[in-house]
Amino acid sequence: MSDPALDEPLMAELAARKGRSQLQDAMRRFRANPLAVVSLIVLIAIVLACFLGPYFLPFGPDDADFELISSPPDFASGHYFGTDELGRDLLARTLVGGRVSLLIGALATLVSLGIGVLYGAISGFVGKRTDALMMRTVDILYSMPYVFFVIMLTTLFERSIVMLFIAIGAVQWLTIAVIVRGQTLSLKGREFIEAARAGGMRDWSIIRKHIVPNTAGPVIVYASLTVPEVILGESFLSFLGLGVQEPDTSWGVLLEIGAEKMGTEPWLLLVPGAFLVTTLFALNFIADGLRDAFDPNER
Amino acid sequence: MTGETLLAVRDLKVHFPLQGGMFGGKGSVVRAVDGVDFELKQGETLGIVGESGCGKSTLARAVLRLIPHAAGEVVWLGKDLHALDAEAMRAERRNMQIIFQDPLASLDPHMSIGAIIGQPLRTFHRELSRQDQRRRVFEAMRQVGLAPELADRFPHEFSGGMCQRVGIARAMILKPKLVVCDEPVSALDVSIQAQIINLLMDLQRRFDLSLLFISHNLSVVRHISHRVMVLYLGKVMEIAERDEFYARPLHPYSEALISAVPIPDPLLERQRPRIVLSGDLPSPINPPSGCRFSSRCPRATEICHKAEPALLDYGRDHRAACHHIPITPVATPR
Amino acid sequence: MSDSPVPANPAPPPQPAAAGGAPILSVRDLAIRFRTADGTVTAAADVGFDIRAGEIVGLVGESGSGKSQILMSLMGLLASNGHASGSAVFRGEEILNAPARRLDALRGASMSMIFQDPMTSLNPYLRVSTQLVEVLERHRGMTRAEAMAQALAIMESVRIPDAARRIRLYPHEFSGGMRQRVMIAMALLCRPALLLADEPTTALDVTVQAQILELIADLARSIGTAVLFVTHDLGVVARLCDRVIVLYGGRIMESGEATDIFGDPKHPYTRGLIDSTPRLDERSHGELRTIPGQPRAAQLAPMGCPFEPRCPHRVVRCRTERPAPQEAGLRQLACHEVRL
Repeated sequence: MSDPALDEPLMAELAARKGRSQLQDAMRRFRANPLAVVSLIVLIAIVLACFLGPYFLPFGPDDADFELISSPPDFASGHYFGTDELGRDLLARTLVGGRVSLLIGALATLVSLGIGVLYGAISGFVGKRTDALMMRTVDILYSMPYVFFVIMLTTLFERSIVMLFIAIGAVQWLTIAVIVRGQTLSLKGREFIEAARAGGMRDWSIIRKHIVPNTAGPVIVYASLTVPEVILGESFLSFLGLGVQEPDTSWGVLLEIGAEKMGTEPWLLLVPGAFLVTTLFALNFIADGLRDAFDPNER
Repeated sequence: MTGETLLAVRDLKVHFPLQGGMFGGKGSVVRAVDGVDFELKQGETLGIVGESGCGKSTLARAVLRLIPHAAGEVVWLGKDLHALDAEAMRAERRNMQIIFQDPLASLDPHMSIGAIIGQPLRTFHRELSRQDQRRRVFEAMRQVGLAPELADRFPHEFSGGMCQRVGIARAMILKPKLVVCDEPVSALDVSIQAQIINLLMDLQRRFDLSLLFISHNLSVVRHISHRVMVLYLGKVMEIAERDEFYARPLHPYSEALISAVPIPDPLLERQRPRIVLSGDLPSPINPPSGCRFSSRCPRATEICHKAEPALLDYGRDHRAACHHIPITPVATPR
Repeated sequence: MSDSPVPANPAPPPQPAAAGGAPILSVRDLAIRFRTADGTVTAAADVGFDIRAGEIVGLVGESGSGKSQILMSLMGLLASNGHASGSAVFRGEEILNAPARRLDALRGASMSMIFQDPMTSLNPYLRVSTQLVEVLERHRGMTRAEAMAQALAIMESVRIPDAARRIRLYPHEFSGGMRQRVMIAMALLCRPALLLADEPTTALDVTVQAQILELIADLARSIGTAVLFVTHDLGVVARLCDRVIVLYGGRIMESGEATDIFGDPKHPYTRGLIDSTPRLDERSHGELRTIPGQPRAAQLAPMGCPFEPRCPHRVVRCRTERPAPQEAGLRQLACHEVRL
């Protein structure tokens, strides 16, 4: 067939350009947002510092320097951010504590993401009774007070970072599940899902190939908001004495100690606080940037 | 065009429940399709026309069993589709495909053109190697007038007409016997509409395709269809061979529809007799009693409000459902 | 229908006496440009036409032809990154880029617009009666009772059955066709001298479209409203319009009286458009003649004839040299290869 639609110059022009999916387009828009990019660089710097920094410090996080107990920041001694009441280097402790906080933030988010996306997609796609049942379950879990839940877990089992992790993850996935379900419900009515069904795809393949990838935008945005929430949650629990325990540390534990000594040794609160606040700001700006990148019309 | 009968739809009904059904009480239903009969032969195009809300799209989806039916049969090559188990139904899907009105919405925005067109292959021909799949995708793209170099592009970079070609390539890649076209050209520019119509007719000739062509555009339907069926509130008002239908519509609703379509010729257009129907389509939840068209019909008399007319054959396979057709039917209703 | 679709009211009616005389709207050298991330895009250029009282002019084109943007620029409703230049004189007054206040006053009283989607001009949270009465109170200084009576009369004049009851409903309680009528009623409240219609029947069924077209034709005839009707449907143009302007890529390809344009299309684009439209009265079922390629979106800096890439008669200079408009009576044509 001599086809008139083969508009040669247009086809050539299209073929010459590199293909860009909506995801790639979103990333391009993200890169055009200076605040988000700077935040990303800051975040990467903090992560690198936390995970690699301690190897380059002259002091270990548990090494007590009995000559310099509770010393304020001091360049001469090498304790740039001072020491605590046991003479341990605060910078080393803050960086090592950051490992725990960031790890919990990332892992708990990933786990809740995995559970939440799958749960929400199945609930929304299957619909009817299954949906009603699955969503009522979420409602019940939602109604349980978070702290109560953690106390229950920590009394039933031994207190550990893993337990903390489970407690936080168990709460965080609920919101993701609800978001993904909503997305799925609106996607389900779209014609390309109907096309997939008419094309003989099994439900499971449709969920995997069409539903889940298309919820990526809002899920990525929400995940980037979840990380700071989890870090704050861990800090909060540790602050209450329910989380990480000495000699292990996290930003939350450091803040707890710092808050006690606020009047006499303010650096113990200010240093870990500055790290936490910077991280949270960076994550929130990144989340903002992602939201704009995925929803260019909502600005 | 004397192919075997591919599809026979008998007394098909599709009802949608309205809210209220959940608490045990009997919610009312919308009778979106309410007893439709027709047959489709291999290589034939049946145009389905009617106003929005007449049940055209619902009928199409029930024929493909994309939605459940309430009663009746869809006999596809001797098998009742709605009686098949899920796996058997899935196997039949390779022979029946659908093309949608909104070309962009029918393509997954996260998949490349090549992945979209190749999806049915990955579903039904898992044994094919990657290269073979890619070769088949390129072949399908060429068939619909898309350069294979575009396989790695994404739908949102394409115009409506090109997206529709992608949808057609996806529908054609398994060489199906039936393609349901749900308003495939309504969203396209005039010059692109003609390209797509030509493409569909060309594919039909080459592959002996059967088409169910749903449209509200009676001019397009006349061009592409062999037979035309008119729906009104879920019922067949008239079904006939194309030229017979346009030259001698028997049903007053068909007459009104035809007369309402403007012809791009001002001189002709200004002297055409016009039947202007009053009002809009009544609600399908509570259709008029007797003949459904009676509330807007210029010919309506008392009997029309009481008794529903049967779909009778008026010769040459021209069937219509109306109490006031001046000629006598040749056969009793089935 | 009664002899006058809109009952008498104290405001001065548009001057149908001017028919054949001075045009109601006179557009010259209209160009519309948009600033985008990729540079300045021209949506329309060198557009000029006149409309007289009671005349219905069709503005025909495909997507990207700039037809809707032309309407928007006349109403002062271009998107914020858009800019219109040239001139558009409405009853002796320059309206292009006029102050928002002045346009507001004009939009309510002497020029109005109807859209494809009626909900763009109706407030979903207010009763139809409230919306109609508000316009009359503001632009006509009527009392509430007078305004209500007038609003009811308008609803009846656009043939909304049972208007007295329906005027109290909310917009979403109307069916598609009825909603379109409510919008037309709203547009006609102050008996505008000019009605700008942006594909008002595209989303409607043919039977309802027929009713609405008849309504618009009646109104133009009886109260002398000039109508600029944007559409891509040649059938609608043939039924409704006295004159036709064919746009492609933001430029006028051809214009003239409807009977001439359809009877003897000169421009290759007009011919292609007419040939590629399937007709209800055709008997051939072979391949439709088509225009190759896709309608191109607005170009950054177009040279030559915008239709050149798709034109079957193109020659070398079509690419580089813009064809000068040829004129003969009411007919205009912009093409190197075809003579009027």
